[in-house]
Amino acid sequence: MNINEQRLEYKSYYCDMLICLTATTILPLFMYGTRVIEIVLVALATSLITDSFCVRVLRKRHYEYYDYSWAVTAMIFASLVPVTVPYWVVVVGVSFANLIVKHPFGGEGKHIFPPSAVGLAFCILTWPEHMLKYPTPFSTITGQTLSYQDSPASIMAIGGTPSIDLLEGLLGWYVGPLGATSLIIITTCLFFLVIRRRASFLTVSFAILMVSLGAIYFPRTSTTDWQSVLFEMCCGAFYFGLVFFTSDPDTKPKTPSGRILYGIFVGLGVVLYRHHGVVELEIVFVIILANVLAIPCDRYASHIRSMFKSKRKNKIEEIQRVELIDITNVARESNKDE
Amino acid sequence: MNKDSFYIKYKELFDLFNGIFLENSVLVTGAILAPVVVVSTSYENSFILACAFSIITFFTVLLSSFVPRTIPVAIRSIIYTLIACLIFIPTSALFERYYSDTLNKLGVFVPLLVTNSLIVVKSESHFHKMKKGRMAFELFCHMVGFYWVIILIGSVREIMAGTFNGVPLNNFVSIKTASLPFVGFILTGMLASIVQLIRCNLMLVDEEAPTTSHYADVISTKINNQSDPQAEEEDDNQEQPNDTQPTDDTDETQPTE
Repeated sequence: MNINEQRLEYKSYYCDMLICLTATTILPLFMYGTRVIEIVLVALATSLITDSFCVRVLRKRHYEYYDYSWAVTAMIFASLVPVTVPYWVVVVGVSFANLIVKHPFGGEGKHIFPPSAVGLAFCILTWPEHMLKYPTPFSTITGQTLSYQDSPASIMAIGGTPSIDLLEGLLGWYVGPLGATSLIIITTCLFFLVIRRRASFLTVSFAILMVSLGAIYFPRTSTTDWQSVLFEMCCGAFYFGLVFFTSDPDTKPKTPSGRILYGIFVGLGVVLYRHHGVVELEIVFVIILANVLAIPCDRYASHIRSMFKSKRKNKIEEIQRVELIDITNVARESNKDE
Repeated sequence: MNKDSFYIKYKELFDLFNGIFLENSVLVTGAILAPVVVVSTSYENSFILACAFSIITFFTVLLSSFVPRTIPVAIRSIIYTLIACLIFIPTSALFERYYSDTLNKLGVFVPLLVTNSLIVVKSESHFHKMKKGRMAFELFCHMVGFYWVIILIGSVREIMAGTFNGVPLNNFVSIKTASLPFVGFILTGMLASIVQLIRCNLMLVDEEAPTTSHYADVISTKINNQSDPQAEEEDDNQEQPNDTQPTDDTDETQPTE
């Protein structure tokens, strides 16, 4: 793949991501009103300014026409904040993502952590009172009184059972981050990204499998198995983070077996964080940790594969040896009989 | 290359003060990074760490320069650390008297200063090769270099957390995470990058000083030297057809003759 083809590939990847991320912000418009657009616009403007400042002023380069990474960073950040978040938190978070996480490591295509994930982690740790305080759906629309509710993640953290039925879970009519609640929209985005070969179905499915197993065998609520699985999917923006963070072409593993291992790590990390952690939106922290393991995942997966291959070879050789011994024994016996 | 630049003109003088900025022990060599990143969360912490570091390192390196060179290097390093331990006792007693609470907060990082790389490594490789007067002056510059870095980072982190020297700052957005090590890493990294930028600019002006391109040239020549046998073989292979060609020609020409 030459440079131009690579650029086109990047451009189409960012376009696909932007289409999906835009889709996730449409439903919140009906739930929370026009403030959703304001947050997205603030994030986009901040990201464009900081990114172009880094590229043009600090690194003294021309802005590449294919580079929409700033928009993806901003949209992911905007999707994972509550709708009542102050604008300055959005500005600081997106600026942190671009100025501290993305460009010091070489900018687009060279970062080692997803910038939006680190920006979010910074804001969650610094201002949890703004980042983890979710308003009740439909309460922010003009004319209604603003009310806050505990998120499913915080309810489950203390052993409670959130009141979410299947329809609410699918449509995203429950308390949570701005664009990360609707399971049906995120699933559609996942299929779109998988068909376009942007997201890794193996990573996502194995991570979901691990979280589902965790929900069934180590449940945090006293409900039925499938409800426990539904709650685990709904809380902490797990599904959203899994689809959009793990599809980053720069940080995801390159081999299919590596992706399986990566998915298992992410799933296990989420289960462990949920049982022993104290911070919500654990997927952000798990993804940051898992990105460190992305390259070793490829390496260890190939080791495991080669180990299985050699074991299989040895088994085949043993079977062949046993068969040979049997044949020779039979031949000897027949000779003796003769 | 501007040979008349201020830096080139007074390079020898600048070299004396390298420990403060251009050869800063934290920002350039990455030594003594742990206390700066982890426990320099306030001005007071930073001040105590800087003072303890200065007292321990200065007197240890100065006294250790009298250790006879006939003793093997490995044992000398142990002796240097022992001297540092001895100096640490009155130093900790001094700080215990005035800043006992803060000293407890700093935990193991103050005692760990006895094994800092200026004492264990750089004293042997750098300081002890100089005359006593210059050694003392360069040590002082290194102390000053450590002092300004840790005080700056500690003060910035405290201001970010919403206080300064224990006094709360009004109308200021506090960042709770400023006391976490990752913020220390980020601030140190940013300062190090600024120092590196200035260093590169100065080194580019100086023709004699080793620059990054100089190192790249050295490495490339080394690689070329290492790969010379292969190159020779390739040359031989390339030369062979040329050698054979005339023979072929001669063979061809022989019948004609």
